[in-house]
Amino acid sequence: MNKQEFSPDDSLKTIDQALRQAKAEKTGASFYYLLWGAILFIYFFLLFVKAWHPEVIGGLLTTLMYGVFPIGGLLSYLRSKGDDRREKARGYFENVYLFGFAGFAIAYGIIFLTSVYRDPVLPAISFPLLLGFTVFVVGGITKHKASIICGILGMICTGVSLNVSLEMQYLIAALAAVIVCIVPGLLMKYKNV
Amino acid sequence: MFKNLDPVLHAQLRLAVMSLLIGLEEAEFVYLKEKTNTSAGNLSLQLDKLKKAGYITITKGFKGNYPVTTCKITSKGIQAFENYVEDIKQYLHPKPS
Repeated sequence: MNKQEFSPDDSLKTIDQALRQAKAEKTGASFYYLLWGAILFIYFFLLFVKAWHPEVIGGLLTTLMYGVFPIGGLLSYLRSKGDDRREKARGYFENVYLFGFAGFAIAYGIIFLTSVYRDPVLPAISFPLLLGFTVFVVGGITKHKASIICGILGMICTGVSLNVSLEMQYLIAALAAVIVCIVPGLLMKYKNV
Repeated sequence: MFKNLDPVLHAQLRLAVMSLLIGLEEAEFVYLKEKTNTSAGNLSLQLDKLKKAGYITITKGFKGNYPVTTCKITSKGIQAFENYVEDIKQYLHPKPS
């Protein structure tokens, strides 16, 4: 590729080909969707079991329930370090994922820390709404249709959650983690996003 | 009347590099070399021309123990690229005067 003079048609072909190559750059987002989808599913499902049959949840399961978060953090950190080493180009979408999910974590963290001791209902019902909203927006920007649809389904989960008992709210939150994170994550992996 | 095409961008390799960089936040030298399928010497020369025109920035750093050269498009480069695309459109679809 060293032609110094070329026609406008050649220019257009060059631009088109290069833009396609840049667009084809993988983000590796599917790993994080699957990992955190699984972690959030385990957490909310154990909360559901704990609320439904408190005698079932022993010390080991309670440890597991809260222990999944540091494990997830560690796995994410190791993966991100590996990606940094391998990555030769950085796309704009990586920042969309980063700020989108950091925003979700901050918003959910504020709701969780300020209300969980007085009212455990709010974190349970707001989880599908906030996560669904985040995945919907990120999917819209990255043009990933499955994320847009799954994001909407997640937000609908909150509507259902408002009319059921606390145990069922935990179960709906666990299902929302599957719908909003694991399903788009699997589709991203399949499509090599 | 056709506008003169930007001579910095109207060269296949430089245009390919700019088209890659406009779709990315930043890219390493090896990535650009791989995608444009060119020699390191030629790519260095063309990157230098883009840098002198103010269209890209070139940062030299380290990734672990290995030296890494990273290229990033500037706002002047984005503007020049957009103008170039507009000018090319005029060539391909001339407006009747």
